[in-house]
Amino acid sequence: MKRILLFCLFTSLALAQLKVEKARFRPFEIAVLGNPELAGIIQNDLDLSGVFKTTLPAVAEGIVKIENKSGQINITANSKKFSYRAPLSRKLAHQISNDIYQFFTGEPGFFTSSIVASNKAKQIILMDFDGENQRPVTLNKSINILPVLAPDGKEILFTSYVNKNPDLFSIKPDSTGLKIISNRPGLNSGAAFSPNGTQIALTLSYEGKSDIYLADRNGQNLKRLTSGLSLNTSPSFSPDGTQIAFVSNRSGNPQIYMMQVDGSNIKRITLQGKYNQAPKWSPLGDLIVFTGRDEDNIFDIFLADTKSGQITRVTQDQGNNEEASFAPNGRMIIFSSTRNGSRDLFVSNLDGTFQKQITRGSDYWTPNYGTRPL
Amino acid sequence: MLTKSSKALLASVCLHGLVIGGYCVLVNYEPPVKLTPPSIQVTLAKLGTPRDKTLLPRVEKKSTSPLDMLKKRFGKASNEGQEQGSALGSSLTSELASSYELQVLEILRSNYEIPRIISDREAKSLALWVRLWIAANGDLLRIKIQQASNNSRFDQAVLEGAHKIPSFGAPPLQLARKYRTEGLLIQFCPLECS
Repeated sequence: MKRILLFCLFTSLALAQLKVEKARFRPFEIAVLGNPELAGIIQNDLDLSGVFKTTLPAVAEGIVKIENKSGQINITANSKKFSYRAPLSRKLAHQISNDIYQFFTGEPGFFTSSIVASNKAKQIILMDFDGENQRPVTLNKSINILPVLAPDGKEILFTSYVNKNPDLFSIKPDSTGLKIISNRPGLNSGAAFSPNGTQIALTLSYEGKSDIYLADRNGQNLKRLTSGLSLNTSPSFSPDGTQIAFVSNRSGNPQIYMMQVDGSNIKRITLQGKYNQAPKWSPLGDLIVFTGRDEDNIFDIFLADTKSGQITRVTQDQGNNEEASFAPNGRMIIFSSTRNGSRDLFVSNLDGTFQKQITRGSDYWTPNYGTRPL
Repeated sequence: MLTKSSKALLASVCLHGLVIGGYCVLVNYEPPVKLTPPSIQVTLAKLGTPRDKTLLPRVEKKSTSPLDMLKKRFGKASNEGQEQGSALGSSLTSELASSYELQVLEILRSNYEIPRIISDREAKSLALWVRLWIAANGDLLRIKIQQASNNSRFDQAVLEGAHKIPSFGAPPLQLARKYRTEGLLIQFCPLECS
């Protein structure tokens, strides 16, 4: 009997030809009630994710209530309860936002992650995920660029001209522990941490031209991964650590490629456009975000599907948009944009339908998210 | 035993009978009514030169406001379109519903909104089958989930969207009974149905 019912159901479903596809995605409307200081930060966090839109309780689909009682903060998200110990702080507010985000979406939030970038003075700076709480990491009179945070959050790698050559340095987020990782003749830059943090991929040119090398985290045990006549730069690890995306001009112009972590099995990813650069692999593994220069010589952000190679556009007709990287949960990207005059940082969802500016009035370059709270 | 002339007479009567019978059948013949005529999809594509496939893609955006149209007009001229397209075309594909069912789908589509708390990645695998019954005046009589998607928020959003529809428009008379009693089985997918 059960088999007959299943067969009938299957048959009726198989016959179904009427389909409604391609829904419009809208933000989930949520109301945050209680302590105004805490509620303000949480509302801002949730709004900035593009997934939520804060609204009045009467029309909200989800309600978050904050109660602050004798040193304990109780949060009720619909029926789920969370408890935290006071005192109130921005860090705690971001943690609460993470828990609310996870409760409603089933995915981890990214509100406690930090962003590392270089600023107008070409110094390395850290900021909260929302662009607030900016603090300098380097304070020298040289050029410091291309910072990346280690997966454990204990170290930042960056390229500095402090010794008149683009050398690779390491520094702790609290500005201590500066040390040289690579200062070979020529270029020492474009470092990327492996997902487990034990190795780095970097770009060196001491053997004559730019190539990608693999090394231990401290810069030792160097192994060359690319060779030939072409230039190879900008490595980015896949989240499982088995592959590296990179830029190469082996086809005549810069394009995105990927290879096994031992340098074998090189495969071209981008077949459209004549100038594609700055690849960053999604933490979920399915996409690579990159900067492409279109036929109008405008830089924009694109996504490449790592399996199908299909390219989709995220930004368009809004100034130059460059140097994107993924948020730790893979649902947002951050990039720099000149759309409002100065080069500021913007976050966007993956289809580009929600984009928001998080810094104002200064030049910010090469933003990267860290995965751990600092 | 029939004689030769009797056989000829019998044969003549049979043949006349066949001819008269055939005439009667053909005179009263009406082709069967197709209850669900096949849909006709029409693409009103913009006339121009197809976009070079080696170029990076552009996002097609609907520009509906007069300001947007002016911006488009006085902005950088674009000749992108289809060689076989129409000068009146917009490069956006439109479907002209030739059947009531396409009309129903179009109305459902216009109310098809789901919350972004469903991630793009989860959305790729979701599919919901619902059956909906329509009254003779076009009102939604009932909607029932035939197979849930395993995501209650998605299912709820689809049902809420359908309930917001004031009317699907009255179905053609010959189809009214079908939509009232059998209903329509429809698959909803957040992105594309596999």
